[in-house]
Amino acid sequence: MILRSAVSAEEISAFVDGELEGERAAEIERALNENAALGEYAAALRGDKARLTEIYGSFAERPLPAAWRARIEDYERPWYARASYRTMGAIAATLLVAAGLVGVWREQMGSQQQDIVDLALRARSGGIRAEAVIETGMLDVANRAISQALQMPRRAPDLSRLGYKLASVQVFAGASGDKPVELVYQDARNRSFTLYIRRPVGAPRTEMLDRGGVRTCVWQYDDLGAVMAGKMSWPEMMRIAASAYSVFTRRSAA
Amino acid sequence: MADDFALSTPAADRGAVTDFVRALDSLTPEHRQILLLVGVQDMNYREIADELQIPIGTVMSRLARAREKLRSAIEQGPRGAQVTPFPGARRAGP
Repeated sequence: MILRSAVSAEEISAFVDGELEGERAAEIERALNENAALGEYAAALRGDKARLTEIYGSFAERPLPAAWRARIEDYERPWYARASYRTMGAIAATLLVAAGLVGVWREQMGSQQQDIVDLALRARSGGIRAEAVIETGMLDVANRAISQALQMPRRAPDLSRLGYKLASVQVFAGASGDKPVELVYQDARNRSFTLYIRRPVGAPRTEMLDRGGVRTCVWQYDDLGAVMAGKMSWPEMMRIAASAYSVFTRRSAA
Repeated sequence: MADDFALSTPAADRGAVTDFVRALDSLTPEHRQILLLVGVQDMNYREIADELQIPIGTVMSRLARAREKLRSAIEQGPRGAQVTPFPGARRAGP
């Protein structure tokens, strides 16, 4: 059997994905059977695809928050703004696995650190007295409060497109430039979540936790730590966290 | 913390997984993205083309290129895994 044309990498890739049909698919299949090198290459591609599913699949099916500065900045390209839930799910999967690796590293390092999640949940439950409470839905006010408390320009995420509006801002006591801030967001059904922002506490970390029914997404890097907390589904949290954190990672104030 | 959501990978496979993740991480966002869309989200080429607003031919060529890059990155990884490079047949398109 003479192939109509040489087999290209694109065609093998498409064949592996089941995207070729009819006569050409049959030709490619024969070529893979007859040419050991091509067959091995196709098998390697299938292996890689299976590996992707094995590593990331369960995380994508269990959508969770996504946003770590370095990576999210990679994705802050024009397409990101129009990314679908599925695309964001795929991104989340990579970030979660990366988080898992960070977790392994932390375990190996045996790091002991103050827990930003505990601090965030204590603030959320009223266990830490706020220095100032600003009942406002105005993002400009929140922007100023955050930037002043942290002494660095950061914006409060505008999550109105996702159905959540800012309800209040609380500023807690702390050293100059290290005053934690808690933003409370609510939707039309009065469901709420909190976003606790402060200077980092301990080593960089990225984790997703469920503390007694309160789900949290923790994200902390060199100059900022944030904990989103709420009683909501993981998909809902991912949807919101992805938007919120992409805003936080931008260094310019509104 | 028992309630913590654990991200777990079988220990025996962790090295290979780590190598794979690092290799994937070394790709450009565009290459990583398209591999994930087809491999994780199980989207077909038409769906990806619509999602990314690119021609289907670009999906095909970008994906093939991403796969080649991934193979190469795995090969250059710390464990130097055995890889199967594309055996030099004609590449279609740019």
